Amino acid sequence: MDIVTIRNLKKSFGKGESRVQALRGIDLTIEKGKFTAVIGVSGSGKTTLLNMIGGLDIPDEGEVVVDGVKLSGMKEKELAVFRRSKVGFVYQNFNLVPTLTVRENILFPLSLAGSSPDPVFFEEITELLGLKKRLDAYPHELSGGGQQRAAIARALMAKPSILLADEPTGNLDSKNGQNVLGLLKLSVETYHQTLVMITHNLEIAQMADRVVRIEDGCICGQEVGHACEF
Amino acid sequence: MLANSNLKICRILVRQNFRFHRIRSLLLILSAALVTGLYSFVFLMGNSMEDALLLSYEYSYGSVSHILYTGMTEGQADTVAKNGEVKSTVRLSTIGQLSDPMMGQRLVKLAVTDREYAESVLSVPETGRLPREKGEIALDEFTMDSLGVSHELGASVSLLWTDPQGNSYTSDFTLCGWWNSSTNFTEACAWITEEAAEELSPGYQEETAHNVTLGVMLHQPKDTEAQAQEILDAQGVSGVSFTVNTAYQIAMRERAADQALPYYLPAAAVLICGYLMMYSIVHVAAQQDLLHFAGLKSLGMTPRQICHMLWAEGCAVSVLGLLPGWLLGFLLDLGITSRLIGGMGAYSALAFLTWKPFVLAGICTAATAFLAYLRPVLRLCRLTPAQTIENAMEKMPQPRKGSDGRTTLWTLAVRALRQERGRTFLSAVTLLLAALLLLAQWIQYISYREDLYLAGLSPWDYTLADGSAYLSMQRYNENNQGITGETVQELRNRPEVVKVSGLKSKEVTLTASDELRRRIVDYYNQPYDDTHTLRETQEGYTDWCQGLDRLEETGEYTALILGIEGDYLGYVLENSPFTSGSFDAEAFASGRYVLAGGASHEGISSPAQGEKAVICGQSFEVMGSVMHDDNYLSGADSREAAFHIAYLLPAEVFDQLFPDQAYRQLAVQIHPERRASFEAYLDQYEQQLNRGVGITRKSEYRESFQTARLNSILPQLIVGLVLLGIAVLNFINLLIAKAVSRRQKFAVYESLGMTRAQLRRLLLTEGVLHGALMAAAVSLPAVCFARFAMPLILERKESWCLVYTFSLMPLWILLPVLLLLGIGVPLPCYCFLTRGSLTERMGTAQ
Repeated sequence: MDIVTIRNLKKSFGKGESRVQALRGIDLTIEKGKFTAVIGVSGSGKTTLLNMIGGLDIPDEGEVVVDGVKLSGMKEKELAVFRRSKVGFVYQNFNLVPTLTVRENILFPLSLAGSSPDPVFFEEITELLGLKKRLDAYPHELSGGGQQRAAIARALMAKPSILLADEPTGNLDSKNGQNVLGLLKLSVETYHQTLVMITHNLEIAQMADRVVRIEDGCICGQEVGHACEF
Repeated sequence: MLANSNLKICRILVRQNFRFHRIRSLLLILSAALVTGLYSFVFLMGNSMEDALLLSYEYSYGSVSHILYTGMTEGQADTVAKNGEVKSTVRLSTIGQLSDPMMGQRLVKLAVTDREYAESVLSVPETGRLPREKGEIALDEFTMDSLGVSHELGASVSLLWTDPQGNSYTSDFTLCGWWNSSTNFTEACAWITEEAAEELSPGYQEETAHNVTLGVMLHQPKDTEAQAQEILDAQGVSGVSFTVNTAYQIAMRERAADQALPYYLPAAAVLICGYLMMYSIVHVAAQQDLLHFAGLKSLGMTPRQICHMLWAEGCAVSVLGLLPGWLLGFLLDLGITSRLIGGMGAYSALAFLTWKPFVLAGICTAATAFLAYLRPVLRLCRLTPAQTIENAMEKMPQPRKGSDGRTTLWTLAVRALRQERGRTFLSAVTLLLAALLLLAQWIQYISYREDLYLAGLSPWDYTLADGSAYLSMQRYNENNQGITGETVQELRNRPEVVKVSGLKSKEVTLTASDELRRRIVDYYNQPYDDTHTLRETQEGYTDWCQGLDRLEETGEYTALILGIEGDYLGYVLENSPFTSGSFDAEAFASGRYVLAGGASHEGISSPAQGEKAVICGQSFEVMGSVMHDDNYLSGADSREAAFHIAYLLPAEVFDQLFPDQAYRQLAVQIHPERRASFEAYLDQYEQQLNRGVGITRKSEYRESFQTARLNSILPQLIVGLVLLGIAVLNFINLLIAKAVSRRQKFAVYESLGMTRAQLRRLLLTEGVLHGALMAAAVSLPAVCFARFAMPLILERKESWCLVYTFSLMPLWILLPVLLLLGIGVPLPCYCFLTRGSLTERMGTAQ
């Protein structure tokens, strides 16, 4: 069953001569509960594609349907509610709120929604991600790996249908990167979520259920399985 | 080794910084211009006030000459005139001095006409001309009014004068001209021709006659007292006395400097507010550039180079702000100082314009910029690159234990409030300073009570005084017929007039009974304090002492008989406490009673209630004795009346005793709405007269009070308003900067699911919290200051019309403004913050 359906997705930035066509009519489906890796060189349109799936940006043309929700035509407020309930984001630069503690950061999307957190789930996630002892610390007091784990916990806390990760290991050393990746996979498997991850790292990509390669705003290759070759 | 510190690169970096951070640089230059402008204004104002005070001293001295040598021979005058320090001279030949008792305290020389000298003592006729014929004389208006001379060309003038040997003469002249010389009392002259002088004082032109007054202008007047003596010594001239222009005396210069000092004091406020304004920009810029500086340091930039770079920026900012600042200061000076000086005389601020205040303002601006850059410079120089980066991180407070981790908009807003605490503190301090300054000026303004001032100085709408009693140093001439019964009747018939109250006075000599004499002498011999008796406190007043001695020895004393009615009687009853008896209006009107007025001191120093007083052969019973407040009397009395007992009678009774006596003064009350037409009538009335009459207007006192009241706070008020402007801009800047600098953070919030409405509410809550914080930071100290400090400050001013009045008006205006800004400023910020897509905004910071 597909959780994401993208049809003829187009997006461009800038005007006139400086206009850049980031996505040139992409058609893509992503299966529920699977780990999909998106690879490509810098400027190929990976992040733009991820932003479109997460409702962070509006396409010029085409259609994006996530978990049965058609994003085009949604109002800003509806998009915000969609992001907070359906999507969990993990960014390369973590994007934690520096003025909030780790605990507050993790619960922030729920706080925005005014929802009460599930304490058992919170305990479980923080235990799983090894954050239990640093919940009252501020983000800058954690290591890069710690911050990324907090960001993952935040992304998971609202139990989103889909987890979008943009180079989550890009700012981490290989050991921390491996750990974070392992945790992401474990979380997805544990909570039956869908993971879409952008990466430059072919080793990481090889761990995905499916790899989508983008080049110059178009999908130029898709592989299924753990032994993809490019 | 790359050990050299190239400083040229620092200047290049400064230039690049100016190009790259255009808005910040522009803000810094504007703030430097504002600081220069305020300094220039304050220094120009202080300088102008000082010069204007010196000019007023010069005018009151009566001559524009730096030194006046008197009692010289022609030969001595010629010798002195040749001295190298002397720039120019004017000469006067005096044959004597007017000695008519009616001249009061004024000294007027009878002198031979000399136009140059007349110009130097501001005594050139405005009506008519200087004498040309032998019997002609030109006088100033005050002398004419004191002597009762008609204001008509050709009027006869009979003068009593005394020659240098002390011989008195009476001479007759014809009036050929007069002038109004309101400020000249010490060097006043009565001009006659050479022929008349020769006839009145034969041989006055002889070489040996010591009758020449020499007015000397020096090339460089410094210590004029010493210079005057040095000139005499250098030229070998002795036996000559001299006076120096008060405006050029060191003591007077110091006095002028002291009096002008309050006008320089706002410079301290400019320093504080200028520092805060520049520092807040520099501090924020340095904070934002910490990573940039860390990078420069890691590339090998030395502390000296960083120091040089920042100083160079400070200097550039100061220099670029000079011209617009000077222009601003000049315009403020032109608009405000002219007004302040206008109250002292009709001089424009332009007349006192010099280059020194501008230079001083430039130096002070550079010093203020130096101070503003000092802390960031020291901080940046001290830190290693790693520490610099660490400093660039946001500092977080200790997390609250036991928090459930849920975040509300309120929590987020409170967290935002904790960010940039230094800058918030600076903003609050600036606001507080502005509020305190404005509050102080406002309370001082409303504490100056117009009603008290007017009640004390001009209780009625108009006072019409005889020409000889216009000024306090003029002796009232009882023989004058300036204000007659017809005048009073005419005034009473005017439709504008509500009430006319008359006052007549007459000095008579009375003899006290032995009992009264003993009582009065004992009264003045009573101790005033531990060391002095009442009598001894008056030792400086020779005439008064002679009057008391006369009473003690002979029982004779001068009685000042005052015929009063209406408002004058009301004034006495209100302001002169009874020491015996009480007032009975019906009995007083019967004409059988008098009120006796003694010293304005506790105890009975005059006939007491029930005693008899015989005036002009008529016996009166004393209804009561009062501590006589005679401030309502215009002009002065004779020297003999320096010690007197006043007897107050109803006007009708006075007229029976002294039927030909004219009015000394009138108190006129009018319908306020008909003031214009009454003013027109008075102008016409004055022009019709061939005699002097002194008109004092309540409206002039009111205007003068209002002007003085405003002028007393104006310099500080302007600085306070500018400071408030800076503080408010600072606050707005703080709100905007805090919001805009978190654009990326807000985008992250949105990416995590924050709706636009929530973002709007968050910004609004932050704004309100900031407004409330500022209001709280300003209110409490301001209220304490107004309640506890202001009474002490006002008490030190020792003004009789100053009554501390509590008010928080500036605060009531400021607080809503702060709250409105807190609510209003985030809205445009919201528009900016939500412009563009989320991905663009999130990428902005990257």
